[in-house]
Amino acid sequence: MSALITDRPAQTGSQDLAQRPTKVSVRNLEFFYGKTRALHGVNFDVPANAITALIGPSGCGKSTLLRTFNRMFELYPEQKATGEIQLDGENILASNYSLANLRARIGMVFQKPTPFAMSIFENVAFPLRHYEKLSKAEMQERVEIALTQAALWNEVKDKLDRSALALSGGQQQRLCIARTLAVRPEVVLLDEPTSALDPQSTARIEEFVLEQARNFTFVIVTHNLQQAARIADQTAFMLNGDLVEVGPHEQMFIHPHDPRTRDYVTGRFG
Amino acid sequence: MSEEILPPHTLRAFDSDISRIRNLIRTSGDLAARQISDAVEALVRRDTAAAAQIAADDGQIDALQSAVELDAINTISRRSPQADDLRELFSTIKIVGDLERVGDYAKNIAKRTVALAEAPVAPSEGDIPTIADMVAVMVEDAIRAYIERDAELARDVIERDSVVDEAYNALSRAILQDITEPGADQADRIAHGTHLLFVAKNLERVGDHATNIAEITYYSLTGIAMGARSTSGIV
Amino acid sequence: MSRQPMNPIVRRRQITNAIALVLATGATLFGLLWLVWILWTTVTQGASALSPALFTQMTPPPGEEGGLLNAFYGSAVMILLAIVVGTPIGILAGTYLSEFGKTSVLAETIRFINDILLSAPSIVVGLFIYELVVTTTGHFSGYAGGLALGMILLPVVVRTTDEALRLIPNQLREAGLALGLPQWKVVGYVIYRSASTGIATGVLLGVARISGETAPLLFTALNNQYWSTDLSAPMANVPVVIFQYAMSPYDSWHALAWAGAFVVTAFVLALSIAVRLFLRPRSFK
Repeated sequence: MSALITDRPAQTGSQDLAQRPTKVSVRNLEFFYGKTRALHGVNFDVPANAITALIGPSGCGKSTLLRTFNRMFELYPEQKATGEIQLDGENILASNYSLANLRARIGMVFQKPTPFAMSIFENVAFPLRHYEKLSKAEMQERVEIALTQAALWNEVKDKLDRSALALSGGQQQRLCIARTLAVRPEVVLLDEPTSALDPQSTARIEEFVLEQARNFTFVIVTHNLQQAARIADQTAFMLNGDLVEVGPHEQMFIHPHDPRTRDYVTGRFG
Repeated sequence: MSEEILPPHTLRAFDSDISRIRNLIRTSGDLAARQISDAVEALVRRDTAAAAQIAADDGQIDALQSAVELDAINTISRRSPQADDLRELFSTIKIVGDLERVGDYAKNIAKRTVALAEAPVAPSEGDIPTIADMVAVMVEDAIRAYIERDAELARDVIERDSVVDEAYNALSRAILQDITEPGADQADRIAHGTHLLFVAKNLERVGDHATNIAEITYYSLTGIAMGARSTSGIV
Repeated sequence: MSRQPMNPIVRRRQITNAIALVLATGATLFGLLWLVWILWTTVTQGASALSPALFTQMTPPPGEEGGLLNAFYGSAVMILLAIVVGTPIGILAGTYLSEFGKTSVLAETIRFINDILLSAPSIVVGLFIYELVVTTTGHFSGYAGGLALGMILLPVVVRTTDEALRLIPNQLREAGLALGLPQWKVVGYVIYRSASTGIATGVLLGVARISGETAPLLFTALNNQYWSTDLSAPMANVPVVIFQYAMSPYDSWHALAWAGAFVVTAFVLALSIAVRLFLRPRSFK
């Protein structure tokens, strides 16, 4: 039988997913905004070199969860996380885990494009320069690689010295992606990266994620159920600070185990 | 009907989904057409070993059917297809259903071959391979029309169905004539002829399924339902 | 015109609306009237007194013809000194408030004190510098004048820098920090660039404000009838010259006072227009 089916599915099924090594492991994660508990003991694994989507209604805690992965919440003194997030087995929430090291390994792209008020080239080169001493030629090469990975190179190669702010929203977002990729993170967090973009720009970014999934581990928060359906190898459904169900596409979108997941993906949600 | 080459999807994974499913359909269609030809050849030769193998191989078509159905459902769920893509993915599920039926008829012919192992070759049997060829080619062409997105070919297959029907009518009349002729061996001839009648009917049904596939293909390509002629009334 | 009978509620609303509109328009016109009047007087009186001599000759003795060259020069030097003193401290303080202190008690206290300083009468600032500099050094000086102007500029810059930085969306900071950049790099290379027009606007508007200040200069730079580039000596400046000449009984001095007022007004206006034209929020080129 298997000899007859020569083409393997393009995206991973449940069996493939189970074989992937775990990149990030979330254990008993609780999160507090002041006294309000926003995550109630979340446990799940993010497989390496795959796309994990976090879905759920507004306020379910999916962005909160994502922002614990690079400890972005520490900017705000009243926010606190307990439990463990293991990156390759090491607890990144431990106070002795270097924040600089963490953020070099786990990059993040935000909902709204956040280009710096610099040239297109500098947007990518500036953070890179912080980590590596590179010759001019090496720098050129690294910027080109990052922009190519983010599927932006062809559109900007002739105007690298122009302001990044003159780019369209979709291009700005891909520039932010390139900037994140340039420092060669292992995990890329995407916080609703296409919610401010038109369908074409959205499709380009989804195409980029699918294309690069073998080079990076992606975790994407999305309000767009269809987006999760299109690109995710694994989808986690969250509700009111609980992780309700996590599984491969077939489980989450074709035969969900939990009635709450079913209600959400079928649009019967309260 | 000119063939329109559609540009690739922005999400290239969608294109690979579609071509993967088309390949599965092609494999399944080739197998079904070959099973029919092989079954009839085994029948003519009274080759029970080959017939048993053909009956056993039917499981492959069934497995391919569920593989395509799962893949199509998965793809529909992932890509939210619209327009041409929606019609195509919907069609694939119907087509593998028809192919699965074709496989069942091949299996049925193979079983009857086992029953007919000791029977002499009746004069009326001569036309069976001709019809078998016709319907096997119809299946192949219908699948080719689907893979190559050729609406013209699909329409051609649909038109061939009436030729098969006429040939079937002639064949069944000949078989009936055989078995109604009085004689000492009439009881055996009736027993054998009944099997042959079913074989003929099976082949005629294969033609109908090939027509179905062509009609679904035509719908998938043009959006126009050829439903009036459809025997299973799909579109 | 509708022929249907008017709904009484709609009618009442229309009347209320009309009354409110008339009152608001009237109040606006009343306020504008005085502004236009002031501007008109300054332009007519000042423009007629304009002459090349205004920019080439020194302030004259009573009753004689002359110009305001030494006063323009003195004002320019002292404003420059004020910028040099007030801007760096102001920007740094504003940066502390927005980026580091945020809503801490210390930051809120500094903001409160800064706001008091911002609204303090400028004569109080003049008196303070008089006590601090003039009485200790024993004489009026350009330094004291520049310092007094700087003290008025400072809270303006602190406030506008704080506000300009706080207008930068937090996502930009998070984006920089998420790349693993240290905070000083994010502020220095990313946030400042995005806020630069806002900060520059604040500085220029502050300069516009201090260029007409008279009170803080009366006790500090005093005045000087002659050409002097010595910052440690009393220094001529436009506002005080205008004040003295306008008080005098001489027609030629009156004319110079109007001319000075006109030039200062034109300068402030030009600065404001320049801020609007070149520094309004726009995409970086």
